[in-house]
Amino acid sequence: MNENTPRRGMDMVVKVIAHRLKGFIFLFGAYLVVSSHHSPGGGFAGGVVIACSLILLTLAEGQQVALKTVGKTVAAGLGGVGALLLLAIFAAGMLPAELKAVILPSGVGLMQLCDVCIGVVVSMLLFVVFSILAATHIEEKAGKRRMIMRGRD
Amino acid sequence: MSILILLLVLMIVGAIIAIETTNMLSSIVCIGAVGFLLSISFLFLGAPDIAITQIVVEVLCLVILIRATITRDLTTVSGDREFFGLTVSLALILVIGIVGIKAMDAFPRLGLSVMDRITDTSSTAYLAQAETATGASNAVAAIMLNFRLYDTIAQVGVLFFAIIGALAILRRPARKGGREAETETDAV
Repeated sequence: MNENTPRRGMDMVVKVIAHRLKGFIFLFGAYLVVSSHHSPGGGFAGGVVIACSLILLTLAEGQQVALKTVGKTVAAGLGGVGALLLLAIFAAGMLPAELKAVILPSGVGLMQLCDVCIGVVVSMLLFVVFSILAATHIEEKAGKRRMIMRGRD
Repeated sequence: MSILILLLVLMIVGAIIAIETTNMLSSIVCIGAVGFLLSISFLFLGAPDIAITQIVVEVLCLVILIRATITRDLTTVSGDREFFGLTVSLALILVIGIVGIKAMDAFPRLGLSVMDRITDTSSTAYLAQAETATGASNAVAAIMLNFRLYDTIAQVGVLFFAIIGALAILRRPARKGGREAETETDAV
């Protein structure tokens, strides 16, 4: 491979295995998020597992593929929406009891809603942090801006 | 219990190696080993929720540490240590150690809950009502997401603002560094 062209991703073996595994890792993260009321897990752990599946994609196939799956703006936006939803739940909890019963689900429903919000916030924001901390700098070549992995060129 | 003590000793050994080794990568690997041993000891203490969170966060931190810091410039500390500073820190460690050993006498044995010895705390009420009041069979989730939901939301808020702050600080230098690297390769 030419010295100047940025290498995208790792070997063929790693790429294929990561491609096969990423769905299962994502599924396990979603399971941890949704089912924390009767098994160990929870929104935070599940969110980190989902972020790990995206990070595996970033490491194995290069950042362009990962950012095509979930863009940085989309990820940050989803994280913000999740945080706003949590803030709404926070505010709705302070309403009087009759109004609260109408707006908020009770029992397990509320717990699952909160878990999903926490999972979205954690997974998306950690993915954004990883892609900024560990993966990019922006390269401008022939008028096109593209990101390459730091430390690989 | 002897397994737990063995795990704790291994964790201390790993932490000491992580501090003393000169190779950055092996230091990070030792930190990872400490984290995994901590996760296993959480399992032995009967806390699978915390064990899952610990192992998952440990993996993420290791990946970020290796990817983000291993290619950066490494700062090394050189020169002799000051005598005064060394004495003061040793004295502080001694005092904190003695106080800690004294305080450990008041605690229950390792692995037992402090709350077991006190009646009428909120924790006993939570544990008694967890399944009937919330419908969740996992008492940890019932406490975290129902009885103490405001605490959990505030924690996520802390995480959110920490990440937003990190993004605001980290974004600009990364772009500038990228452009500088580009001009350097052009000049070569």
